[in-house]
Amino acid sequence: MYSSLKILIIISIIFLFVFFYIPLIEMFIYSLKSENPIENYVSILKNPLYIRIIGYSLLISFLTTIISLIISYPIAYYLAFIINEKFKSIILIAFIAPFWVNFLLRTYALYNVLYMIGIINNFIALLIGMVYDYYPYMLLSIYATLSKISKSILDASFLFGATPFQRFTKIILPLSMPGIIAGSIFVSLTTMTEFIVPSMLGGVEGYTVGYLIWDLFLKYRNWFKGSALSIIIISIALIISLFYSRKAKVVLI
Amino acid sequence: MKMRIIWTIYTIALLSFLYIPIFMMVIQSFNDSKYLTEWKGFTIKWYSKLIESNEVWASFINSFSIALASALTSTFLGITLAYTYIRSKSRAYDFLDIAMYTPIIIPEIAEAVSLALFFYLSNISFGWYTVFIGHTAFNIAFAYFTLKAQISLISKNVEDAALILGAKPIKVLFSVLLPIAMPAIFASMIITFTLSFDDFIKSVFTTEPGFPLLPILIWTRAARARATPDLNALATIMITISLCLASLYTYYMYRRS
Repeated sequence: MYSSLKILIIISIIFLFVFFYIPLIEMFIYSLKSENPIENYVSILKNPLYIRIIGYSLLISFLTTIISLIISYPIAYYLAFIINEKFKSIILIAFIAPFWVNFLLRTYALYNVLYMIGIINNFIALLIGMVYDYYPYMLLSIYATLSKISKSILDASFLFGATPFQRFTKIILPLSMPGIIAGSIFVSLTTMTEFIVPSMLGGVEGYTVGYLIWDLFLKYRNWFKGSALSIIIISIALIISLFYSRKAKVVLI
Repeated sequence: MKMRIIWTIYTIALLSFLYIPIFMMVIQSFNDSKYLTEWKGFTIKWYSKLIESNEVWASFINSFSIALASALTSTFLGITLAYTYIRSKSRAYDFLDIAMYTPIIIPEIAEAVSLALFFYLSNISFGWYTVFIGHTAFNIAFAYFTLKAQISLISKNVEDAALILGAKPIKVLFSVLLPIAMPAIFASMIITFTLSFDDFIKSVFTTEPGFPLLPILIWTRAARARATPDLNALATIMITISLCLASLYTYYMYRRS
């Protein structure tokens, strides 16, 4: 039976290789095309405007991750330990359901509300939009690890005289670290290069690195520089995920 | 007890944050007035305006056909990959497993521009196939991970029993394995369909202006501040469809476990 599957496997691998990996490699080669191979990279890294945009995107991504973490943790905790079983699945479904709504429409819906209350086209609107679109990912990621913590560990800590505060800082928080990290990886990576939210809600303060790549390709038609910037962004994304996953290992051991 | 009330209020507050904008959009789609702040009475005129628009229909058909084709292809290829990875003892497939992670980790916009560059340099004209390919390359990875988690729950004993009782391998596949895996397959098709149907970034970079897609239509109307109320009507229809798909997905996943 494996032999009959083999041809399908080969098709899938070729598909992924040709339409995912080759374009990336091609983009990398393309980014080196100039008189001096690293010229495109040097011109990006030397340009204070580009550096500021990259830094600004990282700041937005960092703030969104922190705010999402702070507002989601209590809910995840509530769902995992406090709420009645009866309501639990309803509340969980209520948090998951908006994921299925088209991202553009969700952001547009928020745009209308922010427009009505007069917070629009600025940094605050941008942050609200980012948190609005991404905090449920953080919430579910934390909930997934919290809900696996066995009740007997908590009972044991009670019997040995731990205060509720100690119980939280010494047991629950360390055990929920993998969920926090997985959620943070997802939220920070996606918000770093997010294009829709900044351009719809941020106004002039919405010029992030995703926007810059977009403009380099579609507006300025400078594909060499656009490719180099994309490669830089991919590298930053890989560094961030490596950083987090190493942290996760430290915590798990 | 007091604590419990605070928790409840907090949960309701966060849920309202999530739902109020969506509900307002739905209500707005039935508002006779063009403006957000005034309610002039109930109407379905935005819906009829929407249905009469050729542009909306053309975009819908393009997006729908691509999403369906991409869901079928990626789920079909995803299940063969996931099955082989789980049942095969060869270490070579560990490499495949890692290769599948990359599409999920790297930023979508980088993936999209690399595809645009690739099609452009290969002289492939943009349209149905390029969008389909862009969506499917990502969806294969997504289907693979969705299905891998589910298929790993199917015991190998079931297959072995069928083989020992004299079923041919192909019969084992169609009469034993696929029926057990069916809920997972449906779930994967629903999620890959949604990912493709809603995708904006990859669509923008792999299509051309003459080939309209629904997310791009929404974008041009919503982002350039020339939104008309029929966008709210379109949104309401799409939300309804999404929530139907979501409940189907939940049903299939729930039935498995």
